[in-house]
Amino acid sequence: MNPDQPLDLSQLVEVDRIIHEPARAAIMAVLYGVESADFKFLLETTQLTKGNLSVHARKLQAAEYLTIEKSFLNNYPHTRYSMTKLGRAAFKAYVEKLKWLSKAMEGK
Amino acid sequence: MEQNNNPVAVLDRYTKRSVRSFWMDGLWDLVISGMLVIIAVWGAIYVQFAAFPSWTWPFFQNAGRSMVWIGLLILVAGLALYIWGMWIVVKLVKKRMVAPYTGFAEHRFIMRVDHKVYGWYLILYICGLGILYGLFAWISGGVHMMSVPFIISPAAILVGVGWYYQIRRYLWLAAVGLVLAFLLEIFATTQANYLAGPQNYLDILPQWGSPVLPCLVWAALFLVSGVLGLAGTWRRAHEPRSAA
Repeated sequence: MNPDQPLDLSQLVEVDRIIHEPARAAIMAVLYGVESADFKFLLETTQLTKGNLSVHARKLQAAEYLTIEKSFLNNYPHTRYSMTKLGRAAFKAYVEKLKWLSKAMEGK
Repeated sequence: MEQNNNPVAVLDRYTKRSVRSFWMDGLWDLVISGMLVIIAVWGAIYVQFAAFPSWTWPFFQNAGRSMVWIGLLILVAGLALYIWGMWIVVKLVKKRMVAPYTGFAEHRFIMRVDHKVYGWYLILYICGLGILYGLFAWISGGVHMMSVPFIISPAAILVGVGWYYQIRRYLWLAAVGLVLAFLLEIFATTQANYLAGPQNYLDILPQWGSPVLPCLVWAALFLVSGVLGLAGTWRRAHEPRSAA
C-alpha cells in the first residue's frame, strides 16, 4: 500500500470490521504483545467492564481471531485468551491499513 | 478506554502495556540480580586467570591459554541454564503471587521488543563506552577495558526499556547505577599506576579494571528494584496509565 497513491474511498470499506471497534481493537492490541493472558489481566489492561470484555472476546473468538480456554484454578473459574495465527495476521494487516489511511489523509 | 486522534498510537500503547507487565512486578529484576552475582563471581576468577601467566595457576600449571575460553564457555552455559530455570520459576511465582493482583500474561521466551529499544540501546552503549573510556583514562590513567562494558550496558538497557515502556523506576536505576559503579571503580583504582603495579584497594589494574565491582553494584540495585516492583504490585500500584 503506497500512501502516495490517490485516496480511494473503497479502501475504507476494506477495513476489518471485526477488529474495527474500540473494545475489540484494544483486546487484540493487548494480546498481540503476549502469548496468552487471563481475564483479569485483560480487564486491568484494557479497562473494559467485565460484560463488555466477555462479549467482545466472544465475537473475536467467533471470527477465529482468539482462542478462549476455560478451566478451574484453585476452585475458581479461570479463562485464558490467546491470539490465533489468523488473528495475529489480521491485526497486523488492520494496523497497516490504519497507518496507510492516516498517511493518505495527511497528504490530502 | 483511551481517546486519541491517532488510533495507531493508542493501539501501540495497549501493546506496550502488555509487554511492560513482564518487568513491572520486579521478578525479572531479581533474576537479573542473581545473574549479575554469577557474572561477578566468575569475573573475579577470570580476572586472576587473565592477569597471571598459566605457570602460576595452582592446579593447571601446564594449561595453555585455552583455559580462558573454557571459562567463557562455562559462563555462557551456566547463564543459559540459569535463565531457563528462572523462566520456569518466575512463571510459577507470577501465577501464585502476582496474578491475583494484576492478572497473568504469558510472554514469549524470546520477546518481541520494539526496534526503537534496540536503537536506543546501541546509541547509548556506544556513546557511553566512548565517554567512560575517556573519563577513566583521564582520571585513573587507564581505560578500564573490562569494567566499562559492565558499567554502561545495564544502564543502556534500562534507559531503553524504561523510556520506551514508561517504567520510571528503571530510569532512576540507570542513573544511580551508572554513577555508583563509576565512582566505586574510580575509588578502587585510585593511586594505581603502571610502574608501581596494582597497589590500590582491590588490586585492580587501571588498564583492565574489574567487571566484579560494577556487576555487584548493579546486582544490588536490581535487587532493590525487584523488591520495589513486587511491593508496588502487591499494593496494586500499577494501574494502567492513561495517555501520556
